[in-house]
Amino acid sequence: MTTRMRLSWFTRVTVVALGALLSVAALGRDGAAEDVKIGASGPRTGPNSGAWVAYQATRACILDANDKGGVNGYKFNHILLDDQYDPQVTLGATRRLVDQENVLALVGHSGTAGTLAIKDYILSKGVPDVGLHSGSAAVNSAVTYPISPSSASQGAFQAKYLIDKGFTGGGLGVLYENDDVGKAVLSAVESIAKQNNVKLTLVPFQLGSRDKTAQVATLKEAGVTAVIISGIPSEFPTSILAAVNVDYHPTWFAVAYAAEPRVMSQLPADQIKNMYFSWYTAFPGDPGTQDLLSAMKKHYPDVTPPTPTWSEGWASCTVFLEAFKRATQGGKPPTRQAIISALNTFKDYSNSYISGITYTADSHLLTLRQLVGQWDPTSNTLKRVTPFTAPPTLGP
Amino acid sequence: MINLVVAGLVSGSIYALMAVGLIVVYRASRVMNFAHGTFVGFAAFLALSLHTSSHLPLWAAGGIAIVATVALALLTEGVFVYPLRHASRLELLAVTAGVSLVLSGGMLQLFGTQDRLFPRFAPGTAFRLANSAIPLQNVTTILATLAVLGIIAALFYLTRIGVAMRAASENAQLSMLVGISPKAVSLTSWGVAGAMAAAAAILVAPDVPLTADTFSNLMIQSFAALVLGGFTSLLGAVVGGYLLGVGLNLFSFFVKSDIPSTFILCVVLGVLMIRPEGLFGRKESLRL
Repeated sequence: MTTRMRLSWFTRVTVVALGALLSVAALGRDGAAEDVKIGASGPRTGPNSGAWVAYQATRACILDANDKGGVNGYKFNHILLDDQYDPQVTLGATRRLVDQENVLALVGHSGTAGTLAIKDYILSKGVPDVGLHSGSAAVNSAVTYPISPSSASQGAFQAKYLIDKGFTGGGLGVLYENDDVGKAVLSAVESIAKQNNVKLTLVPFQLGSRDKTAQVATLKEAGVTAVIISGIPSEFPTSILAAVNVDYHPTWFAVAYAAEPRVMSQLPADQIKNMYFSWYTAFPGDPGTQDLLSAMKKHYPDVTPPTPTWSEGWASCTVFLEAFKRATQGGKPPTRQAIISALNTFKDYSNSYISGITYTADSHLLTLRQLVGQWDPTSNTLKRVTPFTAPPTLGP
Repeated sequence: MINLVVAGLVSGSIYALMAVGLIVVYRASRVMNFAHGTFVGFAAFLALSLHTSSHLPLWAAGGIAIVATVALALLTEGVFVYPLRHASRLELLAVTAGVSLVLSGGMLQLFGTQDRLFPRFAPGTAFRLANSAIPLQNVTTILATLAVLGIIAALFYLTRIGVAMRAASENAQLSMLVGISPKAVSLTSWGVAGAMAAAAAILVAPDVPLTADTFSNLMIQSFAALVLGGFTSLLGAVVGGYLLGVGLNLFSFFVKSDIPSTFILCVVLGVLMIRPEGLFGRKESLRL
């Protein structure tokens, strides 16, 4: 009996200790003490964990800046927390970053749902959310500074391309996540379809739906010949595999963060040839992106191959660094308000990774130029099909 | 319509395989193993890594994954579950949840956060039926699942250890009196569940983007399949899995496409209210 009790006690302590260790590791602070604290929470685990690579790229950029001596005499302590892509966890993690860690700014934060959960809180605290990856109009506030083009402009861009290229003969479909992420493109796509007299079929799905055969079968039955997929990246492959289930071969369009090489390499070739992707930052390997490649190789050697999401994460960091540089010019101390004021001076700001960023005091929604890419199975990378072009203007 | 049913049967295969893995352990140890989904994920990631990084053929990678997952399940039983066999069910459940967390964290460190896709082992079309092309992958998955389930049924009903496992699940005290070792029964059950987890991983992984917690999420559907079929019945777990898979697809196509979780919850609630023991389960009586 004594032996059993001892073993039980030992086992319980072991489990609790391992669990606690894991929690600390998963939610762990990923930074060393420096002068200025910045941070973000993101989906290291959960349904959108594929987006974590953008956080790693942001972090690689921050570490690269520190390695090069920092900005105006300051270096950065970058704190990353896991929010599991759960808005309530995002709020808790952000409170920790702001109330306990006293971060100057959130940098490279991703996700519409999480941003909506923290929007009022960070506004009340005056914490700038810089380089945010969300195009939803709903996240717009005095302290949110996205680098993604507005979802409306992305949807309009994708719909116009499909219509102009003649892919929508049987109608245009949108297979969308039934939340703020997926719905954000709908009004713009509806507007473009109406302008061009194209039949539109909208089919929603729930986040994390493993089998989308029913939804894709609905599109097929409606005779839709071109489909925009609107949702987080992991919803993309399940949509394509559902099309395989019902022998359906439309032209697909999605945002390029869905084009994850480890996923694309396993999708059927007869589906890949009909896929198009829109994007708004440079691709890794483009002229001027050597810093990104070398920093990722140094800090995240296991994260390969390069994807456009790397550039997106890096671009978030470059926007923050530029704002920080402007805010601390002439020896001024870094404050949240100074960062916000500096960001409001951005007028057509461009660098090697992103171009055309303009924030005004009234709106931070961006209408960036975008390109169209297609997957090249031979090199297992995304190739440009068009140069960067402005999205169509939406009617009133 | 045919494609919808076939795709539903593929989903049902996942739920059935996972549900049977759960029920085998539950019947032997009275533990609802929250780590089962993580076992499936472990097997899928291991097989994928051995195939893509070490360039092993898929069958060899799958074989190693099965052996490793059985070992992992046995380790879990030996280190965490058996020593706590006299603890309450809630404590045991918490222990398996802890094991699941530790394993998920380990997989995150080992395999990273990027989405991956398992190669399809049977690309192409199997046959056409009423103007519908049935993918060979789907047919293979369904048939292979039925074969695995057949082997499990044979193990339980045609072998001595299977009979011992059933006897122990019926009455542990009596079975000990006739010489059945509870330790052997518990270990065997966990080993079988580990093999089931690996089989589910290999058969199902080509249909889902793999992340560290992909299969933990599928536990909800597997639990629903168990409730539908009955917690005490292997046949019930299988039928429950297939009914849920096909029903979910037909509901999404004919009724509403974006509320599968609501559908599952309604099924669970409906069964619990009308027939709490499930379609094939038995009412448990308490002798005073």
